Amino acid sequence: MRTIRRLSLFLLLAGTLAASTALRVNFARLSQSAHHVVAGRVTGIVADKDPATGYIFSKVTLSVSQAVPSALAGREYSFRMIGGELDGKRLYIADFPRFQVGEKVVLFLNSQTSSVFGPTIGLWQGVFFVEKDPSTGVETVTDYQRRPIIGVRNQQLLRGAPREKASSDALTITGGSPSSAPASSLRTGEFFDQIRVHRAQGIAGVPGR
Amino acid sequence: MRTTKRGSPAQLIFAVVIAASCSVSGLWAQTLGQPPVEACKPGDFTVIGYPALDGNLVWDEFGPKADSNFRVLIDEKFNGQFLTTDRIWVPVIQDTIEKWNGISGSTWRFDTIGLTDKAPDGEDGEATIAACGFQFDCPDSVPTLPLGTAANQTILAVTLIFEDESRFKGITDSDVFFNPQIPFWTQPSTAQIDFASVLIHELGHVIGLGHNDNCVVGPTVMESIIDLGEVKRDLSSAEMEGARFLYPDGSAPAIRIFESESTVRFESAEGLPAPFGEKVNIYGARGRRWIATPAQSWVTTKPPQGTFLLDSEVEIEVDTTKLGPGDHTATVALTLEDPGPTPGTLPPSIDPNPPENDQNLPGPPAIINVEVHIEPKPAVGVEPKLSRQGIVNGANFASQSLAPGALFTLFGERMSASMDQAGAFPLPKTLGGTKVFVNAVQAPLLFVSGTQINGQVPFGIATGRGGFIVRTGVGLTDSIPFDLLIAAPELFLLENDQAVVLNSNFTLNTPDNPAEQGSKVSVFFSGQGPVDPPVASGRPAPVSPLSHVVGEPGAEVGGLDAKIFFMGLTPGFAGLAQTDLEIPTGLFRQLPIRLSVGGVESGKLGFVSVKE
Repeated sequence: MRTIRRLSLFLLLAGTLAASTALRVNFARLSQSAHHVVAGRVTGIVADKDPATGYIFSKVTLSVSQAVPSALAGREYSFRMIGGELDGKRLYIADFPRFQVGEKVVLFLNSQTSSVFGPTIGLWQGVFFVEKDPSTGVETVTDYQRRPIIGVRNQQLLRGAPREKASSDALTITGGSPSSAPASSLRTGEFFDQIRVHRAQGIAGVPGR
Repeated sequence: MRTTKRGSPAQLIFAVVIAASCSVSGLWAQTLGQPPVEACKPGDFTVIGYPALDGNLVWDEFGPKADSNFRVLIDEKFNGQFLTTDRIWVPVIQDTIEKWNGISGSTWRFDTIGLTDKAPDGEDGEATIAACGFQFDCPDSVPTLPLGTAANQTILAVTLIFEDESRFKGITDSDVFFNPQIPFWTQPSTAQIDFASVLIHELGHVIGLGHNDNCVVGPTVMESIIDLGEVKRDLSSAEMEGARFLYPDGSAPAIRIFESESTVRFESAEGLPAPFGEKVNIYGARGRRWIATPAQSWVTTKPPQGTFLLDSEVEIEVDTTKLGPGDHTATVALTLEDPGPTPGTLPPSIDPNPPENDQNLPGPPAIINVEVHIEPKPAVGVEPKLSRQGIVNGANFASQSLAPGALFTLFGERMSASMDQAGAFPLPKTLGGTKVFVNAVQAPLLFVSGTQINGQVPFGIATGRGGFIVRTGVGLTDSIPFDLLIAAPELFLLENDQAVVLNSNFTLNTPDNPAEQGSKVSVFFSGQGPVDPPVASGRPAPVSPLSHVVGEPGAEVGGLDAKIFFMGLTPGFAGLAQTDLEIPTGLFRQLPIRLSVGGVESGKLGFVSVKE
């Protein structure tokens, strides 16, 4: 008779857990609070220093592909933000995503982007990147931690896990090749569809895909 | 067809964790994002810094640090102009600053030099704690709830970091800004934010620490979230370990290793080739060179030395052909190169002249223990063996459906030379000398023996056709083809297919201990698929925020749709999921229960006992 050992689950605690449901900046608020939302490729980052404070600011220029309001689409758009690199020195809001020329972003911008509290709504929460899904070659939206955005439900973004790299000593897999990602990620156009719907409908719930 | 015998209920020890349905209003207290899941250090802290993208997502986890102290200026508006005319803030600031000073094993020190009327300056080399006036006017009173939707009420405070690459990317200045649009208070009500909790967090950023949300379970100072009324004013061991790591006083190793990886074990047999090497992650200050020195000649390391940031792992190899049968032990000492980096050995981005405080104080060496067990004679057919029928969902062994994040069980032969069980998080990826690859990604392991392995399918790996491979110290199985699903919920089952359910009083549901009709119970399962926010493979799910299933949750009890309060990962566990639901009224005795995620229904039916 085979001896089977069950999965062991370790006792953690007994009692009701007070679940802290932090009031994050959800997608509805992101969409509604943003002065405008722009998607595009970063074409330029020019840093300068404020002589009064010593702080570095950057003028970030985007070639806008999609935007809310849509009049910005197809144009160059620049905004000023605190942080940047100049003469071997670097200033940044701790852990705020770093922009690089050539990459594609989606930004939920404040009306006053040069504030010390950052250019985007909720700092990192208003920063997204557009990347090619390695499994499909399609450009899709990720959050600032490069987690794919796979939908919107109950005013909240649904995120997938970042892909794990195969081990350096990974072994050859037979019997077929890995296929799709865990769930399909939103394309930029689909993401903007959600933004427009949420802006238009105020705080009303919107069914996710 | 293979038959299995399930373990007895006594073998199952369950977590009593209910995700409460109450919603506590709160705010993101922080300024900054969650840390990358793989950036956690031994001791569960992270180091702040820009993400470094080298084609793949690799975070610069050996980030910048300051000299071992900062002079602190306190904005004089904290003395009667910030939110209240009462002079309540400065004593709190001073008390909070002192908590970062004098951490045993760390040389860090904030030196408070008093109040200032000048605006924060990014080049004065001093940490200014700013109140208001710089960006926003100073209001006359504390803002009240509900907060509006104004963009300037989404941030509580920020820390600006100034790095100077010419000084080894050292932090040369940091300033903290509080948002006067937020209802801070020193003794907060449930509608206010605790000022001290936010400040101690921001000061953690000033010294170079990042968030640790994905490292630790439970509230800590460097967690990125704080709720209204929540108080987190005391440094945890994680934060203190972070301060020691960045600013060691010489009494602790400057190179850190996860406790779970500090001992490497090899299994082999006499006359067989040497086993594969084992990799150990090592952590140290960015740019510093390390040297690995084995104490025994039959141990080698690859590479023998390296530079943090470039080489953050060392592979331990043992030449078992030089050893006889029995148990053998060895050590590998890891030390920092003294007196520091050698010009020309570092990439251009790394300055060969680190700040003064980084030159020495290497502390004692970090030690990797090496254990080798050699069987006296070769076993017959030493290669491990696994078949498709031996790959099952770990929840009930009856289903062969698996999804990323699910617990799996493998049944086979010669899959480990010994029986071993994971003792701590993160779950090890090598246990008893055995590794499991799922779609080419190493899986975290819970238990190994010669005939059974329990582990977790890694999150984030591709679904669809892939394969399982078991590798031991002396061989590996063929890749066993396997179709990984997006979600594969499977109930944990006891004898007679009784589902593992906790009643509302947190006792195990059984026919002798049925649930009340209309009561709230927790049902445990595995195979929930993607979750939001994501949790790293092999790590416990956090308490806050709870990690919910991404797919649409569903549950049926007795054929009726059940009201679901929560479906997601069970805090404190890796790979375990739960749904909190309401037992429908009007039905009783043994009721079938079925869950679904994103339309994928649980396979093996379970039963819950309900009182008449």
